[in-house]
Amino acid sequence: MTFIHQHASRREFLRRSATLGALAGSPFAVNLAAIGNAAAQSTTDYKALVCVYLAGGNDNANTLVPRNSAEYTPYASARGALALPQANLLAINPTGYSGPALGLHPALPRTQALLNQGRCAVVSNVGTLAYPLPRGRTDWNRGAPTVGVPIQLFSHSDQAGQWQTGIPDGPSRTGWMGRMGDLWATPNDRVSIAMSIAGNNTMQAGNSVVQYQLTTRGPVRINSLGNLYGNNTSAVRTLITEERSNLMERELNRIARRSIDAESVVSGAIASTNGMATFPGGGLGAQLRMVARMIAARNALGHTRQIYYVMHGGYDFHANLLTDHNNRLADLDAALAQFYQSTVDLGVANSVTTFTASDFGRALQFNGDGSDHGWGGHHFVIGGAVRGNRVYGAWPTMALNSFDDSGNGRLIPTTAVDQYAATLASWFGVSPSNLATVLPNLGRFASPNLGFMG
Amino acid sequence: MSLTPLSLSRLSRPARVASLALLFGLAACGGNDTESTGQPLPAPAPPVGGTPPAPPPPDPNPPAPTPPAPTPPAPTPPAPTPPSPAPGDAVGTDAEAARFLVQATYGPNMADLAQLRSMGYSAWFTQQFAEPTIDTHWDYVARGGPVNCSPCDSRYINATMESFWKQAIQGRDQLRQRMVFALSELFVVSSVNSTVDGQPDAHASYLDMLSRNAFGNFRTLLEGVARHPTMGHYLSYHRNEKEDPATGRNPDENFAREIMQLFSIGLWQLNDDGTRRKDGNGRDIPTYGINDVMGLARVFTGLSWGGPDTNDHRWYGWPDSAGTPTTRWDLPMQFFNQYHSTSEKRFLGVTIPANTTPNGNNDLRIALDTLFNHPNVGPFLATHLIQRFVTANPSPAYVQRVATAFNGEAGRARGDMRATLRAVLMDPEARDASRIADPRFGKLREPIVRYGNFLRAFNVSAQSGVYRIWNLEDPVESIGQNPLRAPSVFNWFRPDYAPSGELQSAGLAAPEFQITHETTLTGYNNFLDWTAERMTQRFSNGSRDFLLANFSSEVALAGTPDALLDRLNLLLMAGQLTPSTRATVRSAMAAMPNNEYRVAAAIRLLMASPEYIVQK
Repeated sequence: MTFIHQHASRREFLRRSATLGALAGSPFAVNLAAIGNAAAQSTTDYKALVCVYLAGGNDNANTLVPRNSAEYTPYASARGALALPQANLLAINPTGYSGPALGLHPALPRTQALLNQGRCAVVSNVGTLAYPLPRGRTDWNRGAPTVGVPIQLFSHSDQAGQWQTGIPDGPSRTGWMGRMGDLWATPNDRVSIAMSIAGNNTMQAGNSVVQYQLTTRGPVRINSLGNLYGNNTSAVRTLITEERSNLMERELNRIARRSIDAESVVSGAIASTNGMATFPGGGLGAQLRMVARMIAARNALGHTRQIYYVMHGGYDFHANLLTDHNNRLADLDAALAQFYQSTVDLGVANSVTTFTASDFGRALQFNGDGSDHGWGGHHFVIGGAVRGNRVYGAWPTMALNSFDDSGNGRLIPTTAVDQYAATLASWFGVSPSNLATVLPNLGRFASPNLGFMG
Repeated sequence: MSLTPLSLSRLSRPARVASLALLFGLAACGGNDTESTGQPLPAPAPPVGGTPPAPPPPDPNPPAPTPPAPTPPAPTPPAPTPPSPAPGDAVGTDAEAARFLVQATYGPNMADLAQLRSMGYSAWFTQQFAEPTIDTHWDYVARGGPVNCSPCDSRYINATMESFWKQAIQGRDQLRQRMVFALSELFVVSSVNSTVDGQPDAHASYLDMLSRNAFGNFRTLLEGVARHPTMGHYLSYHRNEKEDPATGRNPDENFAREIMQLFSIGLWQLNDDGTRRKDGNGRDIPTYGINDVMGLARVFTGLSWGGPDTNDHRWYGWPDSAGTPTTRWDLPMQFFNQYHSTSEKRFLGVTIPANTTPNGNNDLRIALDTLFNHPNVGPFLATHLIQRFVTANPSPAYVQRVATAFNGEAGRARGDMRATLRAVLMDPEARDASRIADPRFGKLREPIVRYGNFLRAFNVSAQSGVYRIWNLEDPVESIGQNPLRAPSVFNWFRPDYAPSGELQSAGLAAPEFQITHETTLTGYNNFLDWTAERMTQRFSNGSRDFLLANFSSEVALAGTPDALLDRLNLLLMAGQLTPSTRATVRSAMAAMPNNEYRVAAAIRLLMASPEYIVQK
């Protein structure tokens, strides 16, 4: 049962502020200067949202492939040496879907099973959009459109940044998951509700919430806080936690205070899951295993909402695409399936939603044994609350020079990141009035909810 | 509580005068190769009674260095080391010398400090520009170890890493060493998610190329990068074939995009001071679009292994008819014109017309000349170098002065890396000691540079001459960074990164904070524990490769903690040790059982202190 207080901002502010005096000098998981900017929300049920970021730009064209000859043939023609054999595709049969018959990359059998079980949905041709770009205009072909489109289209850093900021037509220091975190973070959080197992990222950067970094082995303890070489001294603690004047020194010591305090909470909170079995899927599996352990520790951490970021690197397939993509997807498939199973085992499958994001989808056209930067791409959403075995958003024509092609098979997105994110945010409990804070451009798009969350 | 700046009152009276001369005089010392510019120096301010004068407030608009009168480029014999520095070129105090060497090198040892103080800045640059490397990375890898190694058993990728550290620690060409590292973070190649993973030859040759070009001209450097087979592999344009209308295959765009975005001109049109140019509507102006990327991609077709012929065997890297390998990481890539595009190539306002005879060399020359002469290069490179050497947030005027040096003032060639580097390091904003107290000034020392500082300061070496240093990138057990192992071509951090909170609100960039977080800060602290403690004979496993630090001078001083801390202040702290940190470290030293541990504790604590990690 959900208790969302949509108009609690003043009360929330007072609740947050009441504890500040008592906590002065302790490491908040929020940036106090920014408190009170958002209409804070509180909840008593539990939900977690997990971003699996595929760094480099996933090759969407080989992730989900038309499997009937009429649509497979133009796909294969555009892909040249990159085309997957038609016979190897893993068939899916989404409910209520009327587009071309689809198959998954053969390295995704567990994803296929999750789709069949209704635990996984596909959102097709999602990408960064400043404004809707109606289908059917052919003047964008053979060269990118230049008006009303995201800035620095096709650049890694810009497109990755815009997927995370949700603001493709201007600068932003915060990400949409961070702005979601702002709504629930409080100074009472000794451990931030925004946790990354993959280092600092823009996605979780908020105005007040501060992302907390974990390793795949959990938090790490600074050994010499009270004792150096066997001798009692608190000199290390003093030096790395005291107040400083230089702004970078202040930030360093702020990180140290946060690290020390969070470690003292988290190490104990996750101790009981030390024995959780290893996940398959390489480094991604190890990251998701730690997410599962933190989810298991949610009560000890005092979290009713958690926001996670993990990263799977190596998706920039300019070359050697067939082999490298197969290897990446095999790890992704294994790790995602095991993670979903762990949420079942923990009894929270309906409270945890996992989604993929990436810099962009790669171009359809091949460049030899790889493919170059593109735009729209297909993504997966997994969890018990997902209305699965469906394809959401308009399926694009996977052919060169179609009206979905901005040139070389760089697909013009038919669904905006904003809509994808807003659907997840609404499920997470972001109130309609706060959606505009989380996703400021959402109003530009017809539908703020794609319907893939139950 | 406020940070006490380096107090002039701690200095002797003559040193105080000299340091004031520096404060006021250095504005006249921009990127000049010689001191004979005829620039009059302001008279040093007279010393004031017993009270140290407050440092002057930072000048919001420091005067640009006046360009020297054009001088004919007559060949001049190498200048002998001057008996004493010229006025204005003097290094007033040991602290000033230490601060400069922290910015420009892997950190000082006592001999470096004395040498810089006796020769002055100009002679130091002259000496550094002339100083050869102690070895090449290529030869190290081929040999399997350093010169005179026995056994020569360095293998695999770690051979290149050992060679990197050997030169960084023992090279007298310290400025070149830091420049190579700075360039390796601009022209990024990496073993991570890479076709050059585990290729020691590839990385060694690449480092040597950066090293050879560190003090040359940027145009030559850019071509060295563009033709290097390691970059060719990393950004997948090695064996990139021309377009094929029959199959629809396009050239790979990877390098064409990144050489513009990351290696030369960046995404936005810039003014010389690094700020973005605006169009008539006040909007930023992109430097290029997708059509420029596609046009330039055609230039980078047909490049493969260098060698005496352009046969298909060499193109594919198969052994030639005599069985000789053709995979020559030590040679620049050459054009195999049979695979080079003959189509029209349009980029950045330049059109190379379609032709019937493919001519890769000509196309590459036009492309690189176009990039090199783009007005963005000066401010783009200036910002990168200032951020790597001096401060994360240079003023626009500082960027402009460095860009001006790059652009070729006073008859100098455009792209002169010596003039550019000198402008970076001798700028008033870099040298002005009052900046130490500016809460917005400085940069995080990168973990690799911190570790190099330790190894140099205490002359760490092994009997074998080998630096058997393994991958340092683990954030838990190590320092979270390793040369040539950035996560992507975007390096370890973005130049404009800032963590949420105070730094971001203040509008400051703090690039290195992208890899500074709960985990890496913890890992670094734990790494310091044993690093400061265990490089001694007592912990040696007897191996000839065991790295030993020489702490004898420090141990000799440990009975008088302030004397030890004065020394460490110069070796590690750029002369900026604060009284409060001094007191904290002294208290910990008092808790240690003997001098050896007093030294270890002092080093470990100082290197964890925020005033150490943040270089100012």
